Parts: sequence; C-alpha cells; structure tokens
Amino acid sequence: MGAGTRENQYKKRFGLGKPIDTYGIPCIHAKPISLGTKAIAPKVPFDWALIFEDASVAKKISSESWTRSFIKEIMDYRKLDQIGTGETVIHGLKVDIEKGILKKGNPDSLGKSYLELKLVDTGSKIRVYEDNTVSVWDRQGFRRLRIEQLTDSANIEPLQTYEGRRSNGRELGTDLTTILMKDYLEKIGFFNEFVVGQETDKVFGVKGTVTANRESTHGHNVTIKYTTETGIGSGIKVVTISADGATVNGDPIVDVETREDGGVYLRYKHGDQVWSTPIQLPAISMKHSPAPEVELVDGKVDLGRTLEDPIPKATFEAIKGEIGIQSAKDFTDTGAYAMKGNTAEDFKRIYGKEKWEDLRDYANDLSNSIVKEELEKQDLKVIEAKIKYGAEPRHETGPDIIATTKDGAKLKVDIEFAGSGNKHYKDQVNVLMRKFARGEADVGIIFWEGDYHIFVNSDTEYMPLQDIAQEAARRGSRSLRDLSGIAVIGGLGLLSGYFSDAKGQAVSVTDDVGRWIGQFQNSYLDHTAINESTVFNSRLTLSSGGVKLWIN
Amino acid sequence: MPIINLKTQGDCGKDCLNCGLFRIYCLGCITRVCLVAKCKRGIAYSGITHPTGFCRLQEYCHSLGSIPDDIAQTISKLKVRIKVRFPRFIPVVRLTDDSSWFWKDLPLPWIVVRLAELVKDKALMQRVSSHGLHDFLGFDGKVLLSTVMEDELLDELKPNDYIRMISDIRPDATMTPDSYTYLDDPLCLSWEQTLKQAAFSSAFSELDIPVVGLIKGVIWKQIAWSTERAIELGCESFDLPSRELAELDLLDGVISAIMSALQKGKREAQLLLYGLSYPSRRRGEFVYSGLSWFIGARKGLYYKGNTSFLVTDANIGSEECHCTACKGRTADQLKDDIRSLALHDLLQIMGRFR
Repeated sequence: MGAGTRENQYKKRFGLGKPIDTYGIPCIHAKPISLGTKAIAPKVPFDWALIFEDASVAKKISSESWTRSFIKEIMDYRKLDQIGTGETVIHGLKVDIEKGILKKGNPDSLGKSYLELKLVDTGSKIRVYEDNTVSVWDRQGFRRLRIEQLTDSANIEPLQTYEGRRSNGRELGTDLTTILMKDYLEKIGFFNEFVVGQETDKVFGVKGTVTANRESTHGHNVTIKYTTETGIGSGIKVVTISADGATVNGDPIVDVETREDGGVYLRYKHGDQVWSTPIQLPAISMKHSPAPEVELVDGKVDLGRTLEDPIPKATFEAIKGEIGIQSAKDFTDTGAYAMKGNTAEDFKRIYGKEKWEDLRDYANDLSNSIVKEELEKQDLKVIEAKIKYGAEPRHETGPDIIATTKDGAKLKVDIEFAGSGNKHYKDQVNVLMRKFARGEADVGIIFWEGDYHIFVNSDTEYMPLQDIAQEAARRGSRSLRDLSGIAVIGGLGLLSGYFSDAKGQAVSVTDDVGRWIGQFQNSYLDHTAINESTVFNSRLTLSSGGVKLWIN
Repeated sequence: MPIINLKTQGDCGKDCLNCGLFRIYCLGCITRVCLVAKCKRGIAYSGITHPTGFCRLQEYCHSLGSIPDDIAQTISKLKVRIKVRFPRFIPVVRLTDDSSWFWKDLPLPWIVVRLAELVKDKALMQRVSSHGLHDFLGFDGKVLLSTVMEDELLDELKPNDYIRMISDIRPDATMTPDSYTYLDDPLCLSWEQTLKQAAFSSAFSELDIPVVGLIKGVIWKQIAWSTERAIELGCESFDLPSRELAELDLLDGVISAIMSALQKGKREAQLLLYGLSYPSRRRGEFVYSGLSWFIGARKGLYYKGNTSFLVTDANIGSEECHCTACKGRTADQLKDDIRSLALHDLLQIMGRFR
C-alpha cells in the first residue's frame, strides 16, 4: 500500500502520526554505531576516571586490550586447571575459581566440565569449558564469547558474545567490556545513587537533574539534565551514563574541563572532531542587552510565486522533481542542505553544479521578491533589489542582497536557510543576530520548514526601518502581567527577572499603562532595564503576578 | 572523485562508505524529510517513532544492515508478453459485498478485485479458489487482480504465496506485488522495499497471464529504477497506486519520473492510475481505477459530474436523473437504495472519462 508519507498513512489509518517534541530526550535505542566491519575505527573506551575517584577497576574492564589479554590468559582449560580452584589474581584483578559440570542446557553439552571464574570486584562470571570454549554470564544466561576473534591479529572489533544473526545477515552480540562494566556498576550500586526528579552533583561535580534511571534488556542507564542559561538561550545538555560510558546529547564524552572561572565543559566527539559544551557556566553569568532582531512578518513559501525574471523559476520548475522538491518544505529543507558550506559540495557532486546553480538562482530571486514585497507592505518603497552574493555559502564578506529604497538608502539583506527543527531555526536566528549586532545586515530572511520569516535590525542606521522594527516589536509585545518570575531588587528599586519565552523568541514588554519598556530575549531585566527602560527613575506602578512594585 | 569527501553517515545511521546502496542507488540524505532524521532532530511521530520503545523505524537508526546483492541480476523475463488494453476507467469491486457488482446492469469489459480481501479472509479465499474468480462473481468480462494491500499484509507474503493464490483464483491479469515506499522513511528503507518488490515481481515470470508492472519508489531515481525493472520483466502495462500521492500533491512528480523512464525505454504503454476516479490534468494516455463510487454511495454521496453532494442536499433535491440506475428518481429518493445510488455514482464516474 504505502505511498506518499508514512505520517499521512498513520493519520488516516490509525489516527496516529502526530508530531511530538522530543528534543533533548534521549532515545532508548540511541547508541554509537556499533562496529560491523573492519573499515571502521576501533572503539574508544570511555575514561571512567572522569566519573569515579578510584577508577582502577573500571579502567581495566572497559579496556578492549585488557579484556582481550585477560581472555587469552584464561581460555586454555588445561592451563587454567593447573592454577587450581580458589582465589587468585589474574591481570591485576581478583578472581575466584570454581570447578563444575554442566547439568542443564543443551543435551549435547551435558556433563561437560568447566572452570568458573568469578571476578570479585565486578561479580561477573566467566566459564571456560573443557573444549576451550568461553562463556560469560549476561542477562540470565551464559553466552558464548567469539574467542576466534582473538586468533585473528587483524581483527580489531570488540570481543563479543554470540547472539545470532539479524535477517540481513549481520551478526549480533554484546561487547565483553560492556557486560563487565554492567556487572561492576550494579555491584557498586552506582545507579542507586540517582533518584529521578532530584538534583545530583555526583557526576562531574556539577548540579543536574536526574530525568531517567531505567533498566532495559541492554542494561541500566541514568540520564541527567544540565541546564545552562547562556544569555542568548537555555542550553540543555543531556548526559546519559550506561555501561558503555557517558554521552552528552548522544555524543561520547572524551574529557571534562574545569576552568579557572568556574565553568565546567564537557568535551565530546562528533564525527572526527572533538567539541566542547558547557554544563556549568562561569560564576559571573553573561547578561545581554536586548536582542537586536525583531521579527517583522512570516508566511508560507509559495513555489508558484511569480518572479520578476521568469527564467530562474522556469529552470527551477524543470529540475525540482529531480532534486526531490515537491513542496515548500522540501524547498526549505533542500535549500538548507544545498546552501550550507559543509553540504553544498555534496549536493553539487550528486546533482551536478548546474542544478545547484539553478537552485541558488531561484532561491535568490525568491528571497529578493519576498523581501521587496514585505518591505513595501510596510510602506518602505524599494526601487531596486540587487543580488550581490546571494544564498551562496561561504562567500566573501558582504550582504546577500542590496535593496535600494526610493530615498537612496542601501539596505543589506541576509538570506539564511534553517531547514527543519527548532534547533536549526534558533541557530539561524543567532547567526542573524550576530550579523545585526555587527551591522552586517539590516534585514534578514530565514527559510524554515516551508515558511519564511523576515527580521529587521532594530539598530539599523536607516531611521524608517528602525521605526518599522519598533512598531513590529510593539505589535508583538506582552505585558509584564503575562510574565512570571519577576522580582524586585531590594535597595535599587529595579525589577529583576529572567525573560524566557516558551518558543525561545524575543519578548517585548510594556508597562501597565501601555508604555513600551523594551525587548528582551532570555535576558535579565535588572541589566537591560537600566539601559533601555523608560521607567527608570520614574514613579510607576508595575504589577507582576499580582504584586505591585514601585520603581523610583 | 574521492568518495571520502562525501557525507559519511546517513540519517538512517548507515555508514555511507560501507553501504551498498550509497551512490549506486541512494543519493545520501538530501530532502531531510526522513522520520529517522526528524527523530534525531527532536521531532518524533506518535505510532511511528514515538514512544521510542515501539519505534517502527528503530532498525533503520544506527543500523549497519547489509544490502542485498544486485537484485537486477535476479530479474527474469516474463514467459509470454501479452499486451492488454484497458478501458479508460475500471471499477474496483468488493468481493465481500455483491451490492458493488453491476455486470448485469452495465456492460463492464474489465473489473478490478483486490487480493487483500482474500488474504484477510481465509474462508473467502477457499470459496473463491474452489470456483475461480469468474464463477464466483458470475462475471464473464476480464478481471484484473490488484495486489495493493496494507503494509502488515505485505510483510507476511512471499513470492510463492502470490503465485499459489493467483493460480487458485485465476484472474485474467494481475499487478506485480506491492510494497511500501514512503517519502518520509529513511531512503534505505524505501530502497529495500523497491528492491524487494522488483525481486518478488520476477517470480511472476511463471504466470501465463498479462502482468501489469506496479511502480514503487519515492524519489526520481527509485521510481525510474522500478519502472526500468518492470520493463525488463516484460510488462506492457504499468500501474501506480495514486490516491495517497494525489492527496499530498505528489502525483505529478511521480508520473513525470515514470513517463520519463518509459520514454527512455521507448514504451508506448498504458499507465493505470490506481485509486483515482477523476482524470489527471497531465497529458498522457492514462487509465483509471477506483472504488470511490461505491465508498461514496455507502456514505450517502450522490455524484453529479465532477462534484458530489449528500443525497439529502437541498441543492440537488428536486433534480431528476434519468440514468440506468435512477430512472427519473431524485437524489433524495435514492437515500434508502444504496445499490441504485452506487450504480448512479459509477455511471457518473465513467462519464468523467468519456
């Protein structure tokens, strides 16, 4: 049956397929790509010293080379039998050896002798049978290890158990390092220290909130959420710890850096590069001035829109099927892929440079047409809009489009493609904010999820545009009464509070008598009010959450 | 061209460098509508990727699944190339509801019956098998078997099942097997389904009846590939399940891809737009097939030209219709006569294609 979209199919057949915002919520299936071929680099073990003060045991058992040499050491039944039963030390770990005979399980194996090694520090049980096969206890059963991997010196895949094959022929298995770490974490009661909903600073010494502590067939894991207010947004970092190690937002953590200013940064690997992200900001947090960007208008991208020059549109019509564009949303998604520096070359290689240029020219003309029309709706007559660099990625410094007004002012217009997802949209708004702050753009257009959003720089030098920005901010303003979390700063007589809109957008604030105070995005009012508020040194009654406040 | 410079990991989770589909079939993640990619961006969909415990696409997230060997090699040719000529509109009938059977009232050269009904109802399958479709229906025209069915039924069927069922029920022509290819599935999944469909279709070379090539795929390359395989198989007619594509305004793009592949293969073939009961605006020789006339009648819809009204709608209340079914009655007078209403609607739809 399936044609069209699965989303539509599920809506029609089952009443399902509704979108749910799961951003930042780790998926229970999420894990780094497991190794399947020799073409992939060997697994990098997590450094448990980042979490445990004494990581001597964890370091050993999470190391692929240690587990390999440990199994090599014990996999010969006769040699092991010579050591005898009782407690001993093998490769630096205490081991208790017992002898036994297989009394249940596969009839062919009944009566087989084995030596069972119990790792005292982890509670793990490993059996070496008289036929030199080796099994490890995992998930209520002994699972055979692929010890033949050890005889192939070229094989660098993690030592795994046999767990059958998938329908596509790929062999399944669990890494021995994971099994041993799982046992160890259970033995020391690591997961018992985390209670869902409570704060904890047991990991990295930074306070976070435990959001999940669950056990699945793949083992136990705990999730801790760290929130940092950066001044231009709330950064949420989700750290998940399991027997495989720790990840932040799904990427493996390779280091933790504590800086002199008190900031704590997680260093994680994404692709081949190591990146840094804060889970605790410096003691003196950043306080930003009001956001310079004001959203003027948004609308649906109309791919049927008539453009001044019919050629780019006609060319686009001819190629759109081939480049997978069926709808406005495809256009904004594909635009984000094709016009971004890191993926533009991929697009060119796959579809050819000519099609890329066709798409770029169409995007430029479409942006030009939309911006011109929207500015003219605001009574700002644009007599000419010329594409300078356009949507082309990584071009020289300069505006994408230059729009000339009837009084000769030249406005710098920036084009951004955000693709899909709130994060990408926010990222592009931030890019635009930076350009506005540096005076590199007066107007910006962001294409996102089939829509366009036009922003104007409230700090623009062109006064008519400044008026438009202020008017747009007033239109979208909210009263202080709408905002919670506002308090008075004793002695100073200033309002204090953190302004954060649910959508992460800028909030415009008016006082009780409709006077506009300013526009804030994730900003502290005690800072911004001094610079921006017209109520400072005035005697006004403001109310917030029903409390009357006086500002003198 | 150094492949290493290309994207190295798809949104499907596959390592592009080690994926047999990449560059041969798959373009890499471009349209960004994939539900797995969306899930990674923080938008999940109820019943599909949410809750994660029941995620239907989990296999395609971080998977390293191997890709079947070149399926094209396994495609065999149809034994007999028999060309069929379909009328402009072929009504689909319900095997389980004889109020959709009108061959005594109306000359119908072809009808379509759905294999899905037989797969779902084993007792019906036995009854139809024991008589053959024609005797069961009392129909002496031609019967085209539609293989279009729900995804969960498709997952259960193997090529031999199709061959066995077709041999038992004896239609005059059949579509090649269906598969599910969604625009918002990871490309590797739609490729798997397109490849599977082509492989299953090759089993139809055993049949001695005309085989209509069902075209699947979500991107240009898949659709064109699917069409080329159907041509290779020896199909002379092709069909496209169109209803959902038309609803999402995707039909034109898909038809373009098919027509382009057909032209490349120098085929002047009929393309059956299955599930569509109104003529496409596109130029080309299309034929149509649908059940909406019957479903509409069951819902009390009265068709008039290209529009439909509730039988109780005052706007058409007093208009008499002199078709074979109505014989001078008004819409309101048909409200308790579903059979006549269905026949009226069928005649109206057939009128659209004259």
